[in-house]
Amino acid sequence: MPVVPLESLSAAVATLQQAFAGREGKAVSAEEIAKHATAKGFPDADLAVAVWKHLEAQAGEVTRNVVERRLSEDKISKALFYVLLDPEFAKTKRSKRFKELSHDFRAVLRQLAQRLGLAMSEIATVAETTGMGLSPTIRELADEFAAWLRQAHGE
Amino acid sequence: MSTPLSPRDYFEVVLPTILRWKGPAAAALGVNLCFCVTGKGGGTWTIRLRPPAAGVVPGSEWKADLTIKITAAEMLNILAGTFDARRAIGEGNIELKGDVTILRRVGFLFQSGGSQTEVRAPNGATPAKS
Repeated sequence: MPVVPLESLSAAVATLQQAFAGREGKAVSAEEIAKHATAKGFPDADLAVAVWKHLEAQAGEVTRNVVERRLSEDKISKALFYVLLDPEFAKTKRSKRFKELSHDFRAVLRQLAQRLGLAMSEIATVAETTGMGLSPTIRELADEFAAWLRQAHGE
Repeated sequence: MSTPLSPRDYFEVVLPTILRWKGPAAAALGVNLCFCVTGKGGGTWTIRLRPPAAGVVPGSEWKADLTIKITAAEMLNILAGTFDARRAIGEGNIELKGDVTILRRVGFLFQSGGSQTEVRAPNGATPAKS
């Protein structure tokens, strides 16, 4: 059975959440994060460290080097998104498992774009059949016709 | 990833990346499309599909050829693959202002590379209510 990209990424996020658990709010070294992520089965230790550093940076100036007490799945997945999108980071990575994760991530992004495209085509179909949001040309013609009617009625 | 992506993340992270991947094909359309997402988690973004490079700009300062006003809940339905255009428009959750012929061209640009069955959410996924 083929791996579904979103499931693969969800699993990666869940693994990171386990690896980070109990370390929130503490200044943790990169080595420690790498060790825990690998122990939990995360595919790439460097990627786990990069995600952790991104979360730390997001925590702001006041709580520098301190990540919020409970990291949500949402926060981790966004951080993973940002790191996977960083071309500089991708350049340094050559491992097969990183490439697989990156490939799955790209598949999810492509699907999200396609969903917007499909929605726009469906809106277009409804708009065309109902006359919703008339095109400028038709609107101009309608305005011209209304002006002609007013003139014809001597207004 | 089970948490739905917010419209802000979509317009500010996902879409700019997709437009970079699409390259000159996206800029070649020569239109500006404004998305006004209303409700909690909403915002306004303009998708610039013009040379030299396509991109997304927060706000509505650029003159839009078409403005799509949509509720945040319907935007989430689009992202989850549970969107139903007829229902959404019927319930007044989407308003269009401007040249609607742009919809097909932009829709085709984003849709290229995936069939409807690949893009749709699996059966059983329920749409979010506005």
